[in-house]
Amino acid sequence: MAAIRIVRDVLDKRIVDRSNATMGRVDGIVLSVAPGEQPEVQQIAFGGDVLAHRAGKWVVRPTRWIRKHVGPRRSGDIRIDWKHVTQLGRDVRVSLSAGNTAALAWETWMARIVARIPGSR
Amino acid sequence: MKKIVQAGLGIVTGIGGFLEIGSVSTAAQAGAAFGYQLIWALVIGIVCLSFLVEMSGRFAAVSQHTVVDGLRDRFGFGFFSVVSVGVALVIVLILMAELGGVALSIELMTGIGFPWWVMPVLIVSWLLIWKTDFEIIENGSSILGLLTLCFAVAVYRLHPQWGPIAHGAVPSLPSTDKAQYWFLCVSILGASITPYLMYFYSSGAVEDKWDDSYLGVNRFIAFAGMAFGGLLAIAVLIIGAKVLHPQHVQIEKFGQMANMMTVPFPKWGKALFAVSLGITCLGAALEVALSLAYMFGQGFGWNSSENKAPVKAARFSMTYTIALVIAALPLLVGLDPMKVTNMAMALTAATLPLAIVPFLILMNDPRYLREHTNKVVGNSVVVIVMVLSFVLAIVSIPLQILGGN
Repeated sequence: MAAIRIVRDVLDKRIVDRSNATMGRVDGIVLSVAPGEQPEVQQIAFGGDVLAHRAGKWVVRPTRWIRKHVGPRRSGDIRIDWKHVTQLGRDVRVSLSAGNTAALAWETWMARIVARIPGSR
Repeated sequence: MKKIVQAGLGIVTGIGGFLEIGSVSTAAQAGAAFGYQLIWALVIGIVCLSFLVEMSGRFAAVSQHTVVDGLRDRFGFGFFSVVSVGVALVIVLILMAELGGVALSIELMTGIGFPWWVMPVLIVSWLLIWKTDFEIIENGSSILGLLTLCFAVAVYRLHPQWGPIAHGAVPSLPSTDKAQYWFLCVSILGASITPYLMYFYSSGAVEDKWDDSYLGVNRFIAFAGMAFGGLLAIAVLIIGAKVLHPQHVQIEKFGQMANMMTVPFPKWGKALFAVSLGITCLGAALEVALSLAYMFGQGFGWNSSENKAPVKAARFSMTYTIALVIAALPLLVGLDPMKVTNMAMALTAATLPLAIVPFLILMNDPRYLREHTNKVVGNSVVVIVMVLSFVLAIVSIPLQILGGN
């Protein structure tokens, strides 16, 4: 496999599950750093919290407040182990199914609201 | 065959893409205040927009990304959020202007004040996006928009002299009302070169699954379509110049613009103007609201498709719903859509570098475009017009607010 440039080739790319559904975007990358060893990519992370940290400290607290009061219970960071990443290219492809992760928690939460509006199906 | 149909529709789409409240009202104001003198601003606006539309279609066809996808994954979240906040603010203002344009058109026809029509307009626009799919919105508004050909017929009936019109296509300095001249110039450029169109067009190309084989169609649509729409905007300017300029009418109210159509069409000029503008503004409002939803949806990686039932793209459909409501609120309390329009267009010009510089960087990146990256001509045209618009906007917006010369 050719060398991967983690920021250029992975960060901010769209994450697509095994049935071609969009899960989100790679908002963060989790590395493990053991003393005396090379850092290793462990997971890709996404979700409001990761983005809030990237945007700046002042965004973190309001984001937490919002998450505490509105939205799905199962929200926050979603992490996918690197071993599930099957392909890097235009998108980051993973071997999981979006429905089995919390990736679509917000989408499902919002869909419940939208479903109450006539003509939404 | 499909491509020929698409090319034909694309030409018609040029009308929808170009003619809307911004271009019509700025062109009419320019004609009324300065005769043919500002035609050049429209011409360079049209040329620049054609290049930008061609680029965003090429980007989508070659990279299978929308422009927003590219912005997010090339520049990262921090930069993307700055651009998207700036562009979103301008888009909401434009949406406000378009919704106001539809309401004003109905006011013209009924005589009942526009704030009363904002709610019905909001509901109809929302229902159209909620219930229909991308193709119906794009093609429906384009085909109904053919009614704006009445502006070309009006020019024909007014028998203008073509010499002075051609002269107006050459840039010249104003002798009086310098602040107003440059402000109108900026508004025309802002009305022509709207970034939302790039987002909308590239999203459409991805929804329609364009690939390399569409590059020719794309070029044709971008240049012929935008030229077609642009010529109609020039027609509006000519009507303003021919009818209102000699009477020294300064357009401050929407009704004055409609009156200029009663000279070429004495009986139904006003109604014709109202219906054509109402339809183009409605089409533009739908496109603008969708562009905003595409921008956020693609930027954050949500399911974003106008071709899915709203419940299948819940966050996407909620975004355009909220955007429509936010844009309608100030109009409900009677904020003048004409004022919003002029400010929205000038602010678009002022924020152009924010949207266009990163876009140009993408367009020159072979990782997305392989051998189809921009050529020198495209880059130069866009950079020159962008810098011109930006500088003029920075200088003329404060002057306009202060009302000085």
